[in-house]
Amino acid sequence: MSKLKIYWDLLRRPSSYLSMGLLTLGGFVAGIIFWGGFNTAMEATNTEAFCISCHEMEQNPFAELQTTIHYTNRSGVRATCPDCHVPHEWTHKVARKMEASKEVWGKIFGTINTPEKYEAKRLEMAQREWRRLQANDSLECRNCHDFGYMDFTKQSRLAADMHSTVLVSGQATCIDCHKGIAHTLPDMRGVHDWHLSTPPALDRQP
Amino acid sequence: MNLLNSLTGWQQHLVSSLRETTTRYRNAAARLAAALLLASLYLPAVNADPHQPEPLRKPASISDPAVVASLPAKPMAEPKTGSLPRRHPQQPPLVPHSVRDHQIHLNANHCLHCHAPAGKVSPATRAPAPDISLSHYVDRQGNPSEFLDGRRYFCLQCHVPLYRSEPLIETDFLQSIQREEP
Repeated sequence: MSKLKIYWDLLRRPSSYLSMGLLTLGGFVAGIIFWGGFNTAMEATNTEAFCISCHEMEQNPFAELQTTIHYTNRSGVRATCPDCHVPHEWTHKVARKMEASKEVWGKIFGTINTPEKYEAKRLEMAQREWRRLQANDSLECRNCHDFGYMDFTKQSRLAADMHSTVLVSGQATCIDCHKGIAHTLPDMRGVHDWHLSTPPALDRQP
Repeated sequence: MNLLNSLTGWQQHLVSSLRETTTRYRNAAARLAAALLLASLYLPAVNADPHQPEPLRKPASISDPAVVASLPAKPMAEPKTGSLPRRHPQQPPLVPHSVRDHQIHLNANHCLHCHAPAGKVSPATRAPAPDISLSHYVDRQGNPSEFLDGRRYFCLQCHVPLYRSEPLIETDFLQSIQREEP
């Protein structure tokens, strides 16, 4: 306790040896280094290589992504994990990163470390992402897909109908219709608009 | 020849340079054909195993330029769209649109979003499209059900998208069907 008090007194006392300039400039430079380091470390966790360094991510969602249009296509433009799962704007990104610290917990305790465990959690995880995208009006989709530049004449009739009505009016957002666009769908029987399309004969054994 | 003589100097030059180019291209085409022929002789020999039947898909590396040249122009081309008439009796209707990323598994069936008939259990966002036949809502014993029957659930087992591709081997299937028709 007395040791702590020594440090506290040191912090409270005006500096007696160091110049005002050194303290100001030094603080400024240290601030840059700290801030830059923080951002660099955060960006490093914002890469696909980092995401799939865990086998949970590599063998489940990443493997599912690989056959879809968002991974392989004619022109070679593709989405990586953070493009869809991390907001690009700084404040939201940090908020998402704080949420994601829960995933470190999951990794340590093996919450989804087998395909069976992953499957059991799939609906819960998918619903969390759907909720997030519904709340932010599918912001991550719209980072690339800009409604204002869609050529409805190049879309199927159904797509053009939907995009020019419910999407433009804000009644629906991308994720409302495009669930499962990049990953295998979870059990959709309890999900709004999807109920009961699987016949009971094909029901899973409990 | 009279025509050629009547041409002015630069026009004659143009004609002769055109001829030259044509010849050059013909030579290039001949060389390419020879290369492909050589490659086709070489490739089956790579993994030739006397105990195995020769596979339809020849063992080859995609990094081989000769193989790339022999690929269809658009291997991931969109399927034909529009009306696709049945080509033989009892043919399951073909799918006239891309089914890429359409999921059909125990958790979900994307086809039902557009093709479920009215009055049957389906996702609520139904869009106008040809209905699934009611014969698919009947079980093995002939009892009608509100659910798509389990035997009919995996649509793409019978209904396939039609791509522009040539048959790998010759077939007289259509002729044999047509012979049986009265």
